[in-house]
Amino acid sequence: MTERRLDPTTGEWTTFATARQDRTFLPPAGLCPLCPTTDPARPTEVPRDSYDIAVFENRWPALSGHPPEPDLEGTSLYAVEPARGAAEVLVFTSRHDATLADLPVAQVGKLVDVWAHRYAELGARPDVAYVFAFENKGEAIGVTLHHPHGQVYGYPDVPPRVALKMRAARKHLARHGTCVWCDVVAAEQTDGARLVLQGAAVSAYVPFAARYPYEVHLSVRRHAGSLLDLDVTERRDLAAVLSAVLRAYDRLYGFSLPYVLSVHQRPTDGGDWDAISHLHLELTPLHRTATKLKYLAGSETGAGAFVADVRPEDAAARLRELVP
Amino acid sequence: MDHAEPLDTALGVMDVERVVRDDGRLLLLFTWEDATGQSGAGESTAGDGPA
Repeated sequence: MTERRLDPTTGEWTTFATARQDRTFLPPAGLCPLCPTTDPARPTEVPRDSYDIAVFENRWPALSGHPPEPDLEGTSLYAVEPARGAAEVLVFTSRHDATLADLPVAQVGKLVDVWAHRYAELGARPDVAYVFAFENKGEAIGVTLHHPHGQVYGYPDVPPRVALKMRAARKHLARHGTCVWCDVVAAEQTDGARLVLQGAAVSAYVPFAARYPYEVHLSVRRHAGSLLDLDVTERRDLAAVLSAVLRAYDRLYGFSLPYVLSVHQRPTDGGDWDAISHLHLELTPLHRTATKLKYLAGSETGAGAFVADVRPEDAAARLRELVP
Repeated sequence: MDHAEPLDTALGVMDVERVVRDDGRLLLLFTWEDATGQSGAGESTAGDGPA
């Protein structure tokens, strides 16, 4: 069953993709579906003996350009719709045992270019309102394949957390006449207490009200809504700053740190977003110590109110020590 | 199989090969031609290091 159902008590859609229960789960390296195909008798998802970066439509898509009809009909109370959109897998490298932090900056730069390519192409589709690139890294996050990869979803609407941030940005614009992200990046640059790293065009900082331990945001300092608005120098800088923060993460506890990486860009539904959309990346690890995870428990899950364990200024100071 | 118009990117010229699989799913293979005119799959180490 693949369909979207609207919760009338919250106004939020849930996407059901029950076939994903059968997807490949932590296969041994010899059976990795993301490695190059070396034995024609056992083709992988990438039918080449090597590749730079590969993208393919997910075999078990949550969202699809040609979704099946829903299992049941909606009612005046319960809205149901086909799970229309896009779900792609983005393979960062042909190396099975690497992580994004292990890759040369130039390879991370290629990834940034591919993110931009997918944003342009998927965002041009009439059924895609928001293009969201992300990486789930590590078993603590729930990854099902170890080969370094991410995903790109094309949502048919602006997702709830993005809509929440857009409402805050619009309120800030009405009150101050400025982009809240431009103001935040400038404030972090001036203050410096939460700054982790500053590139030529991009700043990395622990957000003032970070929800996750060692959460880091990367933001271009000038107002730019998407990767398509960056020039080649700025894209290179974004790749270099991202790579440096990921390497610092891996030095934090002496192991490859699990995290979620989210790439946020301007919605593509044709709405009036330019003044309040500001390209930014969010890195959200779960480890509050080497052996303890930040769980989304009662306050976070039940009330949507985060209680954090690590002081943002302390997290930033520690990460600054670890940046290569 | 189809190649879109190559694009200038931060890492040189990016070529995109489009393959439609037997099951209808799209596969895109990205390769870069660097400033020296060399191309092909594999990671470049040029420009390594933080900003």
